Amino acid sequence: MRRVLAGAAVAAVALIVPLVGPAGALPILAQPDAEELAADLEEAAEVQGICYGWRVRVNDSDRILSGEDVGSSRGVGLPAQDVSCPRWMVFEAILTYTSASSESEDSATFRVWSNVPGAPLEANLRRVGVDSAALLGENDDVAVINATLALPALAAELRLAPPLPLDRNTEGIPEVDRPTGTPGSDWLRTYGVYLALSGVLVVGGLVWAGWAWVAGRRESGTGEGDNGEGGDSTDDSADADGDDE
Amino acid sequence: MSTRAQVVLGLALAGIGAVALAILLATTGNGSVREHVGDRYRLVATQDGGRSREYASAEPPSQVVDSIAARWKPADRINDSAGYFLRYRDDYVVVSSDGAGGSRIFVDDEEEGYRHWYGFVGGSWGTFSSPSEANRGRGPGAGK
Repeated sequence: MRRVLAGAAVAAVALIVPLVGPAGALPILAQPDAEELAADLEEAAEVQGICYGWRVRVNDSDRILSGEDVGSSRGVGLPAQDVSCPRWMVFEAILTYTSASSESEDSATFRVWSNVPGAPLEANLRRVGVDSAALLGENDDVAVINATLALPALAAELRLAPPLPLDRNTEGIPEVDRPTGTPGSDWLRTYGVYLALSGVLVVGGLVWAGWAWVAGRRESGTGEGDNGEGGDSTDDSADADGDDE
Repeated sequence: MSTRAQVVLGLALAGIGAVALAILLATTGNGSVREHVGDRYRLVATQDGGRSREYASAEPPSQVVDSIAARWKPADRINDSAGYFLRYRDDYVVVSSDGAGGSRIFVDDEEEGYRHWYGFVGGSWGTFSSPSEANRGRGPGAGK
C-alpha cells in the first residue's frame, strides 16, 4: 500500500511540476504583446528604413539553450535579418537560469546586434533603463518590450534615422478611463536607502553607547563590591542559608 | 576596548548618522522631479496653468532621461520608439528627440499626463477603453 501511495505521489508531482513553469519560461512575450510589439516596430521600420527585432535566448543551468523568443518588424517569430531588410537592428539577450540547488546565480547579458554602422551599444540601452535585473525579474516581458522599443529612439538620437513623431493626444479620453495604482512617495523611493542607513547609524550608535555605559556602570559597581567583599559574603551566606533550609 | 572608548565611538556613529540625516533632509527634503526639471532645463511652453510644461535641452534624450531617473527614481517607465515615459507619484515626465540632437521634455501632472499620453500609457498606467486605433497604446495586454 505504501508503494502505491508513494507511486501516486511521484506521479502527482510529475504532473504538477510542468504546470508550475520555471522562471524564464518561454515564450517570454505573450502572443498579443508580441504581436503589438511587432506592429509598433513595423511602424518604426516604415519611417526609419531599419528593420527592428528582438531575440531572447534562455539557457538552463548548464548553459544549454532551452529556447528562443524571436520577433521583428516583419512579424512574430520572424528574425529582422532578411533580404528584404538591408538595415536591421536587434535587441539580443541571453538569460541563464540556474536551479535552486545551484551555487551560481541567474544571469543576463544583452546587446544590440546590427549591421548598421554606429548602432547603439549596451551602454546606450542601460541609459534608458535596460538592465539585467529587469530582464531576470517578474516583468521580464516588459523589460524586453522596453529594450526593443528603445532601439528606434536610440537610432534617431544617434542620427542613424529620422525620429518618430511623439504625438500628444489633444482630444478628450473616455470618461471611464483614468490613471490607476498611483505610486508612493518619490522621495522615499529615491532616498529611502539613505534614510534607512542614517537611521541605523543613529539608533545603532546610541544603543552601542548606552549599552557600553550601562555595562561600565555595572562593572564599576561590581568592582566596588569586590573591594568591600561584604556583598559577596552576604550572598554566599544567603545561599548557604537556603541550602540548609 | 575600554568602556569610555566604546561610549565615545557609539556617540560618534550616532552623530555621523544624525549629520548625514540632516544633510539628506536639507538638500532633498523639499524637492520633486518637477522642480528638478524646472531648475535644470529651459522652459519652452506652459499649459493649463502650469499643470503641463515643456522644456528643451541640447543633451540627447537618453542622457536626459538617465539624468532625471538618476536624480529622482521613477516608479515605472515605458520606452517607446518615439520617446521615454517616466511615472512619478504626481507627475509624468516624457523625453523625446527634438530632431536636432537635443531633447524635448514634457512634465504633466497625473491627470493631464494620462490624457496627453493616453495613446502610449493607456492600459499600462491606468484603464483603457478607447476603441480608436488612433489612441492605441500598449493596452491592457502589456505585461503579465
